[in-house]
Amino acid sequence: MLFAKPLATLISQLEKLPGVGPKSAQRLAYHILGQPEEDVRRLADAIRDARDRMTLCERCQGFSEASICAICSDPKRDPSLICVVAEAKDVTAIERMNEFRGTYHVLHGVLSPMDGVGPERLKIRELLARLESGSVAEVILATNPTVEGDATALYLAQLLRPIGVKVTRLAHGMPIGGDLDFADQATLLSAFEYRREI
Amino acid sequence: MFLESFRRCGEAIRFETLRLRQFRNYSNLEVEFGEELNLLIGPNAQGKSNLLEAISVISTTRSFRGAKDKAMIQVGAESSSIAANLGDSEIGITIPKTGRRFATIGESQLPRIQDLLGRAPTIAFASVDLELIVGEPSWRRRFVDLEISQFSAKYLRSFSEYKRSLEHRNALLKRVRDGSEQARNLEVWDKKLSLSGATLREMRSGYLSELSVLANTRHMQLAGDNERLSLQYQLNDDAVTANDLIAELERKRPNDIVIGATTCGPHRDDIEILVDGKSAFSFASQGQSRTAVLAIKLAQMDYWTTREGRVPALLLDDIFSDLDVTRRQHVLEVSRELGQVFVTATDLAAVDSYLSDNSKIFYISNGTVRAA
Ligand SMILES: [Zn+2]
Repeated sequence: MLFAKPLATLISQLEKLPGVGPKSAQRLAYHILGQPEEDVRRLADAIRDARDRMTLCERCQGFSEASICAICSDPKRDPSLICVVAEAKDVTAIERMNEFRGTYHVLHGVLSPMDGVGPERLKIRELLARLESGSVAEVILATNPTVEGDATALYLAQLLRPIGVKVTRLAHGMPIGGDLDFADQATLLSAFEYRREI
Repeated sequence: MFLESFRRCGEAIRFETLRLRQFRNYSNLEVEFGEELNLLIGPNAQGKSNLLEAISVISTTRSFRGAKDKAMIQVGAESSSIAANLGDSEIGITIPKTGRRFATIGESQLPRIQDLLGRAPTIAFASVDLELIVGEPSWRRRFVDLEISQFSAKYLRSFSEYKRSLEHRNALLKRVRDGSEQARNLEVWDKKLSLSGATLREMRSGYLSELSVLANTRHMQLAGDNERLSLQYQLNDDAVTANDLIAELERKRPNDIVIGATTCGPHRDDIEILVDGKSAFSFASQGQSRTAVLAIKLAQMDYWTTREGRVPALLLDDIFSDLDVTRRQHVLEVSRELGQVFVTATDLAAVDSYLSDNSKIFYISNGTVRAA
């Protein structure tokens, strides 16, 4: 056997993390073994603690310590505006912009039949439940402009339109300060397609 | 096509220098090419076609021989790289054994490998191109896909969207068949497929109808006035618009679910090549096929020159020496008027004196290149 059993177990667990291949899993495992015992215990505790104490917000399905998250319970946020994102990390990206004052809905994925992901695997039922009250004015679809992100937006638009809620999709275009010559052509193309009058 | 206005217009593409690192049998090579004809002389399997292949890879991101990435990396090396100086810019591509390929222009890395397309267009003519006549329909689709992708970002995007949506739809058909998803979940994939699929069909048939006219003119020059050549795009079904295609996908759905694959759409289309009104696939002799392919290649050059305002470099591999003297002369006259040409041959004696007098000659043996 190449690795002693406890080390092999650690490596195989680390390998399951996104973006970690066999080589980096080994590197991380050896790094962890070389750390003071106290540091390793703190890391293990932090992982277990976060997993134990964080739950999904009942409303937006984002990660939260309470049953309703800080954004959903903030009286200054507009609950009639829902921005639908694929992953929890997308909320962080939009929040950093510090401009959007509505609320979110996290799908926890996008439609991807190749990976066995259909609508029932996403938090779509929960989104429909939020719309039942009739107080939502607009749903902004902010999934990525990939084939899967677009298909998910299309699916949701078809589902939501009959309810009578306004459905919008984020525009895609040039990054600000982007250089035309170096812009990837798909981005440039979509910047043209979504151009507007000034 | 919005993006055309951004492209540089005008002259012929010139590969001034080519640098190879760990590409096939070249560990480290730098060659300075001539402006017009470049003659690569050497026995077989010494690396002359590898040079043409390197040019085709940096031009189209793919090998004209259809080789896989791994095959192009030198044995024992971790990656392979190709760089070309085009006079006003320097482009490069790196192909690693594992991980993603990347492309550069000057010092900057391009956002995606496809952004290299169209910066240094080339037309290759090699024996594998005979598949255009005698091969499976997939060869002919690959031919139009590669070509249109070089000058249209819109096509390239529709092409990659279509391919991916098709994989998803086929996966979903199987999931519906085994009961793990409902058939109505196919709707959104039908819609995605029909939008990109209709664009592919429209642009393919538009390109081919223009190419057909140009190819016929070239063919008459090569084969005489009475042998007409035509290329016709052949739909696998009757769907022309996106709405037609959606309806067709819905109609085929029950059957598609049973077999677990999508049975209509542009991935099933073909190009019919007719010589004198007869299918070249069924009736053309080897000589006729060779002439037809040559006419199509020259027509591709004409299309670039007249429609895109740019002259691709012409890469002529082994098949060229199989042509008779008149056809060879013809190609060389055409290409000399047009731009830069690269020709491989086993020995100088096999090449017309006309050619050797006007070329920069390189002798290639065992991975070394010596300019004469
Ligand atoms: Zn919440």
